[in-house]
Amino acid sequence: MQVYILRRLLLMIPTIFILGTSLFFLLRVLPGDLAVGLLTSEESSATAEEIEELREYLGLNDHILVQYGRWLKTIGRGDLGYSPLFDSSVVSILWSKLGITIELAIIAVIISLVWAIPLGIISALRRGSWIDQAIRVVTAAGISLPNFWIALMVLLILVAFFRWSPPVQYVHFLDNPIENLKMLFLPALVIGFRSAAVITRMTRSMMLEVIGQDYVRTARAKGLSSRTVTLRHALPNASLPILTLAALLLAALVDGAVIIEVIFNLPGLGQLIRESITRRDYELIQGIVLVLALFMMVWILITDLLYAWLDPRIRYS
Amino acid sequence: MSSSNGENLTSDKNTVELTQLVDTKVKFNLRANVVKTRRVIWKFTKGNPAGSFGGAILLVIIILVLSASLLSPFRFDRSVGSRLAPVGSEARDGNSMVLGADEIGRDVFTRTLHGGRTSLYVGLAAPLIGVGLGLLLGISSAYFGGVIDMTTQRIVDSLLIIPGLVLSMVITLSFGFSLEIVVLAIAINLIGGVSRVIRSHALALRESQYVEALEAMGASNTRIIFKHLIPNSFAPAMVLFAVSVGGAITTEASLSFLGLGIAPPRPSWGSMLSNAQEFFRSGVHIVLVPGVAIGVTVLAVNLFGDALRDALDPRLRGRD
Repeated sequence: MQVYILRRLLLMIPTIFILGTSLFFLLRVLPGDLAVGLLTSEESSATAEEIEELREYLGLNDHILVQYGRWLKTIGRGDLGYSPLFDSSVVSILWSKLGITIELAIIAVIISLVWAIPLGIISALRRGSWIDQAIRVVTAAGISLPNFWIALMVLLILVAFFRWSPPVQYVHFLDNPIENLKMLFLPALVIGFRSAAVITRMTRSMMLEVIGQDYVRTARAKGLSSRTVTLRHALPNASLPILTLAALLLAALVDGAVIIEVIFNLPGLGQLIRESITRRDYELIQGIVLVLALFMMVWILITDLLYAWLDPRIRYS
Repeated sequence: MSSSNGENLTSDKNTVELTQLVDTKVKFNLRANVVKTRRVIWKFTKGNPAGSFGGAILLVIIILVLSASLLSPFRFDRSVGSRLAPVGSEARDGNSMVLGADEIGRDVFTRTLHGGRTSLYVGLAAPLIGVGLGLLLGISSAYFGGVIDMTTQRIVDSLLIIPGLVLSMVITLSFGFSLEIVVLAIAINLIGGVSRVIRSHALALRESQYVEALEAMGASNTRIIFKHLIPNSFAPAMVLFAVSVGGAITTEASLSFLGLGIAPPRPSWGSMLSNAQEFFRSGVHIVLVPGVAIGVTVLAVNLFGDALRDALDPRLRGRD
């Protein structure tokens, strides 16, 4: 087991290296860079000398391989570099923005699991009934409709009928928990809607597969109540693929956050990604992507290990 | 239709008879194929009412979008009426603007139809390229094994862990906001997942006896891959293509919505929504129309794709 974990951890190094390197060169393909972006994005426009001076200062005039070597050295130190856009280190910027997105993701996962799993079970137990049909229509819509569309529709309804508009100022959880949760509830609901639909479908089909099996019939024959049969015998065996799926959906949550944070005006990682990409803050983009990638890989490893822990038949070597 | 082999072995008279026989057989087969196709479609429709409904809607959308210039008297990039004119109001040239005008007076109906061209083009082209490249990568990874497999799988790993939308944003920003680049930016996201699925499929094929026989006969790698492994991986590739179209349309809309998609003046449902966002207090229709267009199209595509997956992938039959 330790060997397995070690091997998986070692495999992360080439992956991160490939990702970082290709991103580094990808970002520097086209002319135009942060120096222009920093000085001319606002109302004022800068002279060519000023831009050239800043470019020299930021080291953007060096040969691309020199820049690459410098960046490798920074990464080697365990640092992620410096963001001229925010005039601070990438790590500290990430640290300040990550909290909001993680909170958003956690709320989204909780909300979606809370309604997705029961709906999936009901849908499977009442297969073919009108409630099953209704659930399947809702999940089909949840999978198909783009989340930013749902977000816009939610906003449209709230604005048109309730004269509500998204808050301008973000309130931190520690300052005012209730206000903070009120603010994050809607975006989390929207981000989680798609994942919830996927999980509902998975739960339904896994439950259908499990409840047809002999041991479930045995449990029924023993005289157990249908509630016990469902929750104690059928659900645990159906839960493994659901768990894997829920883990993989985390990547989709990040994609969702990018666009939903923009719509709901939340200053999280999603907004940061958009801003760093449109303003061409290279080191910041690289830092964000590498941290996200590392996070995803560790997360997938954890779920794989969890899988083996939940199902003793699975062994890694 | 007679083979050169047959000509050498038989007399002229026999050849003529043989040719006729083959011809009638071909005719018969053709008719049988038509009947068979009809039966397959009927069976599909009966077994998947939702899927056929999706397919029918999709067909209507494709026809509408392709006949955009016939259906509307306006140009998509010209202001033809007053700003944010409501649904059904009159344009300056007297024609009716069925779905109103947008924030600078362009006809919403025309723009939605032309935007649909963009969405459908990207929605079909990106999965075609993505699945194609993923197929090649997955098969060569499984077939050659060893160092090639190891390297490819690390590249695939790095493709799989990076959030798709973020990668697409970086690509369009680096290479430009043209239609082709957007297609590539979306296609590259599909390569990782597709090649994983195809690789595991091809690993099984690689061990099969007929591949062993081909190798014994001295068939070249290219021949084995292109004439045998790729055709045999067609069913899973088809399924992967069908289930990727909806996602590709959504990603294109998301990119355009964030201002990193196809550059104006070419309309796209995503950029229409993005422009509309600021004005929707004064005209609900400019959000609703492109929004409903995206929703209906992706729903139709997914219903059809799911049904196709169920029909082509026997492992999933009876489930869901």
